Amino acid sequence: MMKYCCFGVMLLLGLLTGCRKEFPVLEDPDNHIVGSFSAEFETFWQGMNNQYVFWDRDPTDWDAVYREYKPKFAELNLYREEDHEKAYYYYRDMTANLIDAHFTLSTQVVPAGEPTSLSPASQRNLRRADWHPPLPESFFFDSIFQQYLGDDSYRSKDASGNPSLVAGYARDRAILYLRLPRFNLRETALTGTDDERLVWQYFVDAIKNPQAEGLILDLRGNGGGYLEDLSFLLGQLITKPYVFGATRYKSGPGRLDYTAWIPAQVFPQQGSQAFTKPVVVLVDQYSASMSELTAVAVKAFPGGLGRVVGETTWGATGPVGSRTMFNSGPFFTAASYVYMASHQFRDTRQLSYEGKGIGPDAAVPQDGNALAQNVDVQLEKAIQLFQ
Amino acid sequence: MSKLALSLLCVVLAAAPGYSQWQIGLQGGVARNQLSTETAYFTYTRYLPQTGLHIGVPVRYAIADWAAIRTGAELTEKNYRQERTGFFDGLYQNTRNRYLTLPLGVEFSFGVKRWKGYCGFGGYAAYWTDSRIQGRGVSVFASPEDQPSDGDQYTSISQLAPVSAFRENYVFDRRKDRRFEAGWTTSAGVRYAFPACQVFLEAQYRYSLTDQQKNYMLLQIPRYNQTILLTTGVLFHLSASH
Repeated sequence: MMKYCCFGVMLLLGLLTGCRKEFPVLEDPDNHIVGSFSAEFETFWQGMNNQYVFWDRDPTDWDAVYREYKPKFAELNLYREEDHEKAYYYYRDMTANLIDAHFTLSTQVVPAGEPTSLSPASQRNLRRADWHPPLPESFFFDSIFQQYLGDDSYRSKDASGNPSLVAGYARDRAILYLRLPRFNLRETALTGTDDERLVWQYFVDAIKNPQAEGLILDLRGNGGGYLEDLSFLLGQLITKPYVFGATRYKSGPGRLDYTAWIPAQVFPQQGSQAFTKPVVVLVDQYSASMSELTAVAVKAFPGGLGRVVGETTWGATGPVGSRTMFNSGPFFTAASYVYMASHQFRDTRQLSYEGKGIGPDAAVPQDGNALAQNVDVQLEKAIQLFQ
Repeated sequence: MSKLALSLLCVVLAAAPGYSQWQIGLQGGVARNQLSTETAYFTYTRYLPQTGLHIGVPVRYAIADWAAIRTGAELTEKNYRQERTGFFDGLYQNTRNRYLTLPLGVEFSFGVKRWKGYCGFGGYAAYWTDSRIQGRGVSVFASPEDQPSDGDQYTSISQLAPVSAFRENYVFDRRKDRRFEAGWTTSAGVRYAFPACQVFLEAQYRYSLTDQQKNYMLLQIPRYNQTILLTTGVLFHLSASH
């Protein structure tokens, strides 16, 4: 009897251990060897499947994308020019509803008349009811500098001769104004042109002026840049770290594998003093990425002194970092480059702005007619808030 | 397969007609759990087993001097650790998963007088009641002042970015988390019989057959629990008939 029982147990265990699912083999998209459009599609699809960070909230059914487009790509040939154009449109349709507003897909071949890279957020922006073209940088460098800033103001150009930092006090007011066209501030402050370093030093000194009524950060048209600039800029205004939100990234290749939320903080910089006056951030529909994170960080400024004025922003608040470090984010395939966020971001109220943008506290649409007269209604509204 | 299990159960039930004894008791011990999964091409990452607690109320129905049916209610922690390695050393997440478990199995005894050895096998069903995570993660928002100066080498992620500790309840995701678990179990142990009770020391191996995740995506990497239990306990005799 015992002998039969033991045999039965062994047989049962053997059968049961075979009941688990098989582990799929996942290759690193960056190391794929691609000899066909079919393989190129698989690489792109899988890279997105494992590394896209917004699957928990994105409306795209990525499995349905696989089923629909796999056979379509299988019919394409890498060595036919017209098939590259077809692939471009397939990619456009596959990615049209991705909420990651950093997402851009650069392909080897772009059909005539089409954007050089596919950006669902750009297409969304074009459909906005309040769409307008971006303000030229000369508007900040010349018009604002001349019309709105006092005599003791400074402006600078970078090494290529492009407009860079502008700083000064609003005309007849003690409201400090700083224009940042992009976020490479630390680099600019350390290794920029003499004029750029002069403007930065002017700003750092001016924010310590006890007579200052407040600060306006003009981030309109600023598409973002280096994350370290957040503390480099706002850290000048504080003496203690503060939390303005949290980020998380992928913990594994599963679409819903996430790390815990890690606090996002602004850290004080050496020699900083607490700035206890209101801070207003000016944003528009082209304020993206670091500009948006700066706006959120200002809204969370200690003492509730931060306000955001202008238009709803671009909607790219997920930071971009190294894929090796964060298991998510940009990757290459053999025939394309995929740029996308590596993190989700949420503010202190646990709100996510990805694909939606940050709504201003004081909404002021751009007024094209006023701009033609060199009147900046958004800046004027920001100045009004200090009264 | 189920026919085979049923046949074995019938053999046991038919083993000794007229002999029955109910026993109920308490048990406690430790559970060493390993998450069986893969990190695919995600670098500097590994999973390690962790130890948790295991408590239960075992119920044993002896149908012969050498055969019994075992069941009960148990609370088992099936923990694991995911950690980053090398340059990312210091980043980790400990996950404590608690399962309410209902095992059902047969047990075969051997030995003489008061000391007996036994082995058993069976299955279990479990419900993932709660989960808690604790660890250290890195923020993408580094302060420039925390970073090495130009020309300085750095050897650890903590030199590049702020590392924060976290400790929180894990919020289940209905789309992903499968909270029902089932699998098979084998056990071996020894027990010593007193007139009114018996004490035992046993080891169990539990092998989950259900993925910890629902089938929510193509090319999904499964996650299975594999647990070794080391427990001790006491069983009290409730009734007997010979």
